[in-house]
Amino acid sequence: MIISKIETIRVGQFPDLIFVQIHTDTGLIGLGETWYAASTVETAIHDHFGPLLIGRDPAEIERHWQTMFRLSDHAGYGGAELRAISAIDVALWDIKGQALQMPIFEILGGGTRHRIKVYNTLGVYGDITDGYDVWTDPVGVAKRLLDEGISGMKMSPTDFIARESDGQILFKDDLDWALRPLREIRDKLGMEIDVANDAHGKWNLPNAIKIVREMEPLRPMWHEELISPLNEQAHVRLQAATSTPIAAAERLMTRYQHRRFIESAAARISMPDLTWTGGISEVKKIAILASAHQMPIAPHDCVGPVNMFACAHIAMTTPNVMIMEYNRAMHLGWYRDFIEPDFVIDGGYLMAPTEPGLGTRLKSAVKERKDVIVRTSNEKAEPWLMSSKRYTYPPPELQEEFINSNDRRKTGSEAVYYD
Amino acid sequence: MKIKHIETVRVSDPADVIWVRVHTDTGLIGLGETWYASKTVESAVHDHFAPLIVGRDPFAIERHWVNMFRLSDHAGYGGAELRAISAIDMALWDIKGQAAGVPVYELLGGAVRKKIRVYATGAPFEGAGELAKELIDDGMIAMKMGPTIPVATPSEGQYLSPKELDRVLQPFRDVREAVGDGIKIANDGHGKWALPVAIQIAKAMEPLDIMWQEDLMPLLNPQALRQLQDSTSTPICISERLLTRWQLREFIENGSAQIVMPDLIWTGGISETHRIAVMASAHQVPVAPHDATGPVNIFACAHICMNSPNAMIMEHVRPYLYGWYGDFVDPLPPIEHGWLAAPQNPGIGTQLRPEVFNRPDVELRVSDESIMVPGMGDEGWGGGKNFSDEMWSDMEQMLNFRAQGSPSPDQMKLIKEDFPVDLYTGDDSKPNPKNDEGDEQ
Repeated sequence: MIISKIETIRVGQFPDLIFVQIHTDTGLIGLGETWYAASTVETAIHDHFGPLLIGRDPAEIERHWQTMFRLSDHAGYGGAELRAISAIDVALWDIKGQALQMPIFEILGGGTRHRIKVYNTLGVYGDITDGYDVWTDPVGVAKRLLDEGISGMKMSPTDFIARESDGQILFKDDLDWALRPLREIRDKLGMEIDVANDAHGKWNLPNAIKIVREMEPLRPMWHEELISPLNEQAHVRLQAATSTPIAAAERLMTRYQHRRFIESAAARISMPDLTWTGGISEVKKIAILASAHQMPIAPHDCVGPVNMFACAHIAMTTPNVMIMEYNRAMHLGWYRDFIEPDFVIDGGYLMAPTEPGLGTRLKSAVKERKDVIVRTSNEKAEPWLMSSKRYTYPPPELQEEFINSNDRRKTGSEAVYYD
Repeated sequence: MKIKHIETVRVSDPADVIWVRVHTDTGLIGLGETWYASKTVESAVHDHFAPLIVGRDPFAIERHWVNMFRLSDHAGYGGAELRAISAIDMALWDIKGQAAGVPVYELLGGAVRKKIRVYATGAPFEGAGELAKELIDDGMIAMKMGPTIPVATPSEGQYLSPKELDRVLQPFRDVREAVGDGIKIANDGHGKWALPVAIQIAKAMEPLDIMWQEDLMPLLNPQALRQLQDSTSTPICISERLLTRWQLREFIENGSAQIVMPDLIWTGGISETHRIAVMASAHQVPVAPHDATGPVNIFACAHICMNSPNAMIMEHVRPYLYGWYGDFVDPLPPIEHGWLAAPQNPGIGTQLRPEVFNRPDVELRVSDESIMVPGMGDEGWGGGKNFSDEMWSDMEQMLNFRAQGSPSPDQMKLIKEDFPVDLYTGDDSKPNPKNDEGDEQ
């Protein structure tokens, strides 16, 4: 099987969202997704990585990941390029699963569970206004979730009060104001619902420490990104200041960045975003690394429907997955405009996908939308990294002479995979 | 698909090797292997782990691994039990690969290479130079020997005189004289030496350009090994006797191991070796899988090597490959002219020869469905009365999933009765049946 065409699909309505479809000569199509700076990701997919994939075997996922990562890491890995790699990686796993007629979690080692508990990140979309309602009727929001069987939620009570000083100054009465909804939930519902605190990296370290100490009696599920995860030593100090777990969150890229937070005890929960950090391949690796430190992972989602499927496969097969993020407003609001079948949330659990591969497809109607931007490419190229014309290599005739001078060099040269 | 029965196969010679065959209701048979104290492994496979496996879905490899590991780790993981887990894990991957119709490396994420270099382990004290020539002619680029191993005995590894140290370097010098830099040489110490002697040996060998120093010391203390690595420019390589990612972790993280050498059939099978390779990759540490044990291990390691970007080179023992391996498996590991190729058959890529079952010295043992247990034997500790209805429902679902169909409502009742003691208030008015079996409250 070879990759014949790469296609990206994005829509004007969600300018950050981008899907990638990898087409093969057998007709199988793999679906991937990422979110953020979609036009830059689109360019990276077609101009940068696509030529490495076209004409090659989609089954060699690890090889493609390495080739793409090395190409991008020549100038420092991360950003839109890593998001492009993530989306492509998911699409390749989708193809492999369909080809082998297995859900991806079966390929990754099989199920350790058949469903994973979800918590709801309070969002706002259309008729669903959990994110606003929690400020005016926090107990009502919590009860609504509990009625659906969802026993955990995530809110960002301090984002707004960080705005004025850019997180540099924290007034006690501001914090009291921000924590009022959570305190009301604890007063009326006790510990019926678990509540995580996310601050999107808005605070400096001393204020973050004040917040975790003030929130201690409210027993949050975890603190996520009170400070930006730029320095694991600052996180070590924050974690040391509280008994509540600190989550090392979505903006850490690959096992190489997660490693320092895991090994230095800067966090007690790891929260990779699959569509940013390197796809299914890389999240599996981060989970393995965390498992060596007895650390759970709680995959991030606030991005798109395909990510939920990809994370479901990780969660079914990985023993150290704790809980899965779920954005009810986005799911019920717009996820179903794009994919079919939908993932199943049942009684507060995300259920194991049952179809081969990822378990979902992009709806054909998406490509007929007025605001759709589709780009395809099918140009094959030699990865310059593996090219015999690299500027650090000797001229071709000298290369030939070297390779043919003895058996060791000759057979070694034949072993190189990159054609 | 369900596992119908588990079969072990061993012979009197070689006595340490044991094969595990996992039979399914579809007729597919998965093959695993381990080596060392095979009778104890046999007992662990049948008496300890088979009840968790038989009757269940062979595809749920990760779940079986965790269940078996937790059961054994209740009293400290390792040893024969972990070797049994390793062999079973390998057999389950074999089944999954066969069912999918692809070699196991395809399931691990696909190949990053077409073949991997092998090195040859073992050299005579006299004639190492000749052997090196022969190996180079056969396409090999590296060899491993252990001339310091026997001389550790007189002092129990606590002392080596300068004169004796100089003598044991002779085979290395012979190789360098015979072939110059044409071959890489690794030194294996089998964990015999105390730290000061290990440093002495590593320093003395430096001018001979050693590929790695392997297990010069017992692998008991990562800090001690770090001192050894700090004192020599030769990479330290460890070790087949470190078990699972949890033991290797410290040696990788503290920089004492520049190369890691897991033994797949001791450390937890294909699943765990894959995890070790991933963990090493986060530290840019290469992996050189161990083999001096059996033919199926080489196949399993081949799948790891094809899939892991940080695989460096694969071990093999030529007298075994061209000797007894051929009596037991067909096909043999695809090793030719210094390279181990990607196995092409679906699954692990080989099977036991039919003749093995007709040998007069063959010992077969089978565990079938008569040993099935309802669900995982979760700890029979108290707290049951405090559980909410939601928690009971969750527990029922999880136990049902683990048991794939069982337990029946009657069995569920029995499991509930395992939770009669209130852990939080200490109310043990109802006897806990598990306590009769020695579990402490």
